[in-house]
Amino acid sequence: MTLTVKDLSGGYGQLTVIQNISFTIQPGELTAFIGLNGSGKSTTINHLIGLLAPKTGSIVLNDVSMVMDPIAYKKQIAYVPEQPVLYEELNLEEHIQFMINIYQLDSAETWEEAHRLLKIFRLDDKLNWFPTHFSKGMRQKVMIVMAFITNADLFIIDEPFLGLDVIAVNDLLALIDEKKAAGASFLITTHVMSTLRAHADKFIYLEDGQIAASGSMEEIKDQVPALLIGEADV
Amino acid sequence: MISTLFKNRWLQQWREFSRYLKYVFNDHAIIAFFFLFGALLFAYQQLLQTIPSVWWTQGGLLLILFLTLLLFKTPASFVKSADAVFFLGDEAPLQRLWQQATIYSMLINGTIQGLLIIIFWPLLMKLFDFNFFILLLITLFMIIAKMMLTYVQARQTAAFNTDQLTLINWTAVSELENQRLATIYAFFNLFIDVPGLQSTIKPHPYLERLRSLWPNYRKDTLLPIYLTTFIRKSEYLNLWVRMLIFGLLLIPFTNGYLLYGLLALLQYLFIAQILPLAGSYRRLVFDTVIPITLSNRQKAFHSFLLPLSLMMLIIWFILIVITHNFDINQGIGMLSLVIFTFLLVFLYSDRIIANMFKRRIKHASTK
Repeated sequence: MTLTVKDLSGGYGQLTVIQNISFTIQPGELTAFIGLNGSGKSTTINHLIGLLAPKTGSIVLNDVSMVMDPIAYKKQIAYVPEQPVLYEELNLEEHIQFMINIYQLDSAETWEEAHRLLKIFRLDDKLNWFPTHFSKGMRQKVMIVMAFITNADLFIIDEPFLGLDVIAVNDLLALIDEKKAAGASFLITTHVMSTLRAHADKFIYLEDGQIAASGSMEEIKDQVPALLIGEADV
Repeated sequence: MISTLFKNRWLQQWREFSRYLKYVFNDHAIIAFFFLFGALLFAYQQLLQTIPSVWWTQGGLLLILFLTLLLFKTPASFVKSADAVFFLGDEAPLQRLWQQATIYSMLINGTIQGLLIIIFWPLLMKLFDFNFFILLLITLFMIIAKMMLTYVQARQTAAFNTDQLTLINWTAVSELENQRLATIYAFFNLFIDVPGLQSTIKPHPYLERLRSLWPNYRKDTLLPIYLTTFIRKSEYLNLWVRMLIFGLLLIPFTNGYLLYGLLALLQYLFIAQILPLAGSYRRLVFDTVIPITLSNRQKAFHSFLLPLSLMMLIIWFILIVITHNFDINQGIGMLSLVIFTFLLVFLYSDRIIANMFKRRIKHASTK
């Protein structure tokens, strides 16, 4: 699995938000996208999942171009948005079954995995709950469970730690390590590097829609504001 | 072949609509519609007998026919906000849904256009002396034009750029669908509270500059927020404009008691539908904390509502004076309408607002 982004520029309508972004993500690699509010992290992600079209540049995952063959490209991705989006008329169980159908997963095997994840996130007794009953953090956990039951090659997660309790953050990090070990790649955006520093292989620091620094923590720490790096190790 | 996803989404949406339709077509509404329909038919018959076949009536009719193309042209897609995320695993069914929904919308919008044109057939025959074959050709032309307009809007919404449609802009597609549903639910909301109905907030800088000229603008604490909400929340401003236009359309074709009765009905409908604005902040915790009494709320609402209703009446009266002979009967009709409006503003609205805040008054004596 290799994601190659080359000279990507884009934004919303006439407004250009990101400019000439290039990077690659190798199999089993976790890349952390960091930057302040408005630096272009979520815009880049919206391009990577095909919610926005590039103005220039290319996005290729495993030799499949996002623009040329969006169906085949998107099949390889699982995505957890910053704002959880759920179908208000489906309960948790039906959401999971819907994911199994869409990603054409083995039902018995995936339900077994789903039950394990639901237990980890303390949602196992809420299968008949509707989204309206879930708190913001619970909705976030539902989105995480649904992404992690898939066999996607690339997991794109936008600000996963906002709204999660500390136990859920640790559980999520353990799951990320598990999937990484199985060969999946990750692109995760975050405001604070400290939570991810022990898990990320590479950091990309965005400033005003452009890559201001990239590399390991050691390589970029002098080019990134100290508050973004944070102190605590997880 | 029609996809399962299309069938499910279509059924789901109509099941939802049917929940509200039974409130729209309740016993009282059916009687009101019956009378309104009768009045419209009578007015149409009068119009057919009296309208002269001259250049400006012919031009006016052609303009109205052209304007019908602007109605009911939004394509349905049945795409939801969550679809872009959930269908990452296989986007093909979603693309099929969009394609079939576009064809469905073209057929439905084309049929509505056909029916609208058929309504104008008697006028077209009277003003242009067209035979049946010409009328049929015009109707077919308008149906095809509406279908094309629907298709173009669907495609323009979905395409990031006009020359390719492999990558679909699902955000724009679902936003347009949400807007379409919001318009339908706003209609249902006239009859029953639709939970979760989100109205659009849009600044209108020109109107906003006029706010400070409103009578008592700086005296009544709640007046600025009522007025700002009215200007920026599309459902309220559109309501005022809609009622004003309905009245203006009625005036040239009706007269006497029927005209003043219908205008009074429009005033009542306007005030009844704008009253929820007085209680629209009840769920904000802020609204329970501010030191405002019930009579402050009622007074601010009078200051907000009276100029709006009077402006509507003045515009209607100007058109009545222009299109009808002004005599003592017209004067009595106008005066009655003004008195009726004052009663609605000062008595009816007070009672409704008091009921709105009744429960809160029970629990907190100062509010």
